[in-house]
Amino acid sequence: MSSTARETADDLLAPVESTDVEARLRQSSRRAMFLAQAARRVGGSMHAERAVDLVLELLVPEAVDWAQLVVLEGGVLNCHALLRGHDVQRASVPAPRAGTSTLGRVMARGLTDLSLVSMGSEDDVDGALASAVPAPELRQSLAGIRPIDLLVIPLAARGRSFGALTLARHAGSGFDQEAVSFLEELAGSVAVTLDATRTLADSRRVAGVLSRDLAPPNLPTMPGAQLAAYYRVAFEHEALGGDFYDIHGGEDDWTAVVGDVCGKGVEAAVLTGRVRQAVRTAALVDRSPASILRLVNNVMVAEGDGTFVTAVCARVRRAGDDLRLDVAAAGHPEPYVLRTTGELERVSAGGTVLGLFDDTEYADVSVPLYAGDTVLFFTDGVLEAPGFEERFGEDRLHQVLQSGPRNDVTAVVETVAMALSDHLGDRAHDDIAILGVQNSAPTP
Amino acid sequence: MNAGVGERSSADYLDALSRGDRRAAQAVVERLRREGMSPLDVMTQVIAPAQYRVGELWADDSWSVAQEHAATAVSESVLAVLTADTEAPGLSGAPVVVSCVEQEWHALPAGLVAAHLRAAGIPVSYLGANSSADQLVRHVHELGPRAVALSCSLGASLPRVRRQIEAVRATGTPVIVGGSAFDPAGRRAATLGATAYAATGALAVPAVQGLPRAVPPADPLVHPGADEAVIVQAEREAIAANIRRRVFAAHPSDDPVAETSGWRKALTDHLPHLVGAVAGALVADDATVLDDAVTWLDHVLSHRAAPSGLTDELVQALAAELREHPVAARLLTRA
Ligand code: B12
Repeated sequence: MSSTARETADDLLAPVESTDVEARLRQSSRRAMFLAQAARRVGGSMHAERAVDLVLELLVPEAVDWAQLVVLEGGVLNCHALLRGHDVQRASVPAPRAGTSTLGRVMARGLTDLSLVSMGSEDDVDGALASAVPAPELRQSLAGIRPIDLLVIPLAARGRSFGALTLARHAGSGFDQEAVSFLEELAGSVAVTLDATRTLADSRRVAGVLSRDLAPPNLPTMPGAQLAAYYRVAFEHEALGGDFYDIHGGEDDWTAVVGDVCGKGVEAAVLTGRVRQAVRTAALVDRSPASILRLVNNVMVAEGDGTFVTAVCARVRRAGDDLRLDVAAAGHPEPYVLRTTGELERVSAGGTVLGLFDDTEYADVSVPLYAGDTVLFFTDGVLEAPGFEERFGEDRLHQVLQSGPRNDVTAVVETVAMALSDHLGDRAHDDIAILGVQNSAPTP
Repeated sequence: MNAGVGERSSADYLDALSRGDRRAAQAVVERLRREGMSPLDVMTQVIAPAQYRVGELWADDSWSVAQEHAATAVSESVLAVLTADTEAPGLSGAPVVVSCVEQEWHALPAGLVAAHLRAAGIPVSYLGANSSADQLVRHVHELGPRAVALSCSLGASLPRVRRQIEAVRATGTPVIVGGSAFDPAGRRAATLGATAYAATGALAVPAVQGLPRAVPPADPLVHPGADEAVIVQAEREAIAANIRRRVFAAHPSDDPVAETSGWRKALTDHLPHLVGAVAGALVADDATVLDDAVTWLDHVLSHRAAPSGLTDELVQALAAELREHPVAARLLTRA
């Protein structure tokens, strides 16, 4: 490995006699290939730290013996360095001041710096190196390279330097003017890619923080019950949709809600966040699902932005070995109860969509959930799922539930999800949400 | 069943699975752990063999799909508890994203692989069953993983494996694949453009450790049949529906529920996968993908009182449907 690495480095960077036309051609075509490869490798990643690692791994050992990439972030200089045959090392130091170090100067002026750190006492050498490699632990990895040729190239995008690339070779291998120009060109294209990657990572982080509350929640542990959910969005690259579920409460009294906001994607998801919050607040006032829906409806009508939501809300309480369900619905597909005996019952709760009419009243329907029974809430994305010849529909849902497993809620939800995915094939679909709650008291 | 595990434990575990009884299955595992068996050994010597047995019991029509499914849910929950026990503490650094390909629901194999990687100190981001190319690429962008590990059990899923390898490699990220859809020598994996293949969870560890950091985009597939794979994959539902109509017409039944049970039900469920296996054989350039699917379906049908010679009929019907695709037609004359 090491001898071929040396050869390619020689190919890439070694000075070539201006009269040796063939060697010059070979070198410039190798350099062009290297540049193209760099752009592709680093560009594909779109992840800030991985992109930095890929730049370093591209340069070491193919071009140089050691490389450091520093990036200025919020007053801190994040340093990443790679010595041939080792893993990437990282350290953070305070940002250098413009005039006081090679690194600071290169970044402030946007000009490359080439220096030879010659032999001397190890203290002198270390002092000289510190100017370009400020983190002591990263300097240590340079200990084996003496004397060193050190090249520091600014990384600039959008008209300002945001970091620098420091490259080291054993003195004598050196960097001639053409090699420096080639490496500057490389740094130029790498800088633009790194900058884009960082910008993207920043906005992704912002989006991630904002959407954390909009994504479906982790299911809580509910004593005496097992929960399972399935969630699939129409716009998969956005990972957010207009269907939602939530389950909260404590001890022996819980509230579950499953709903569907008009619209898809991020805009719809923002509204689901508000509705889920409104349900949580309303549940603090009165836990009756009918009352919760009435309050949420009033809030939505008062906000009056013309959007509407369908939902089914259930209160789940323990009553000995049974769970007692109170269910109210607002324009939403009715939930099913799957009995351990195999019977399938629809909970006939009906009511008007949320957000359209003031002072709508809803009604609670009570259903017992005996040991082992499961209640399944779902959105109309299930029934409407397009198939090769027809929509998924209620009949198919019945058939799947009646021939599928009953004693494990995860398996119940998964059976429906599998049948749906089989039915959908590669067709586009609406948002889909399914929530199952099983009474896991031991069956008598 | 296995020297390391008492026959009794294996039998008890399978018995718990047959009843879909989480508590009982968990109790068997806890007993073995108390006797000193490591979590990874429990996975490979108890859970995996029991799962293979579950497959046989279903194929023989001794167990219903519901039982097979509930049993697997129990094994998955047991696996989750064991994985929490094996995980090396405080793993950090770029993870490996472990996932099933789209429309692939066999999540337990992927879970086993994830457990082996974690136990070896490799951080894992586990996505489970049925991840689309969009979801995978979004995770790759968010996590900058060192690799993506794709699990695939169905021969009919191989065209989707190819699509996801393309999508992930376009980000420069290496892809390692495994699962029962691949041959033990890894030929299919190589044809599809995977960076690496491993036959077991244990072998996945060194394979992941040996992966390159970055890979170029996948080369286009140029073997004969690669183009036909795309067409057959796109038309598989229509082809399956035609064959089903033809076969059912040739074997009429007065019983209105005949289509929801027995061989007719099995056939309806499996036909799309049989046609998918043709696409899988084409895309992976390996006729045995189809041969395996046919052999298995023949076994399944014969245990469900299917008319004799039905499998041959199916193959002929497939051949008729695919007569305009020369490579596919050749596969079928072989089968
Ligand atoms: C349980 C099961 C199901 C359950 C799955 C439920 C669930 N949540 O997982 C249900 C009932 C739903 C099911 C459905 C089907 N199944 Co199924 N199923 C099985 C069964 C019995 C067990 C699977 C399992 O848990 N295996 C346990 C582990 C240990 O499997 P493993 O593959 O050996 O995994 C190891 C290695 O492969 C490797 N590995 C696996 N993944 C990866 C990934 C990487 C990156 C690496 C490096 C390594 C690696 O490491 C693992 C650990 O050592 C298998 C039989 C079998 N022999 O596996 C059939 C099997 C997988 N099913 C099969 C079929 C055909 C189907 C259906 C099409 C049948 C139908 N029409 O109903 C559907 C399709 C569903 C879908 N779209 O996904 C076939 C697939 C044949 C093929 N190659 O095409 C199998 C093999 C049965 C058979 N023919 O013998 N199935």
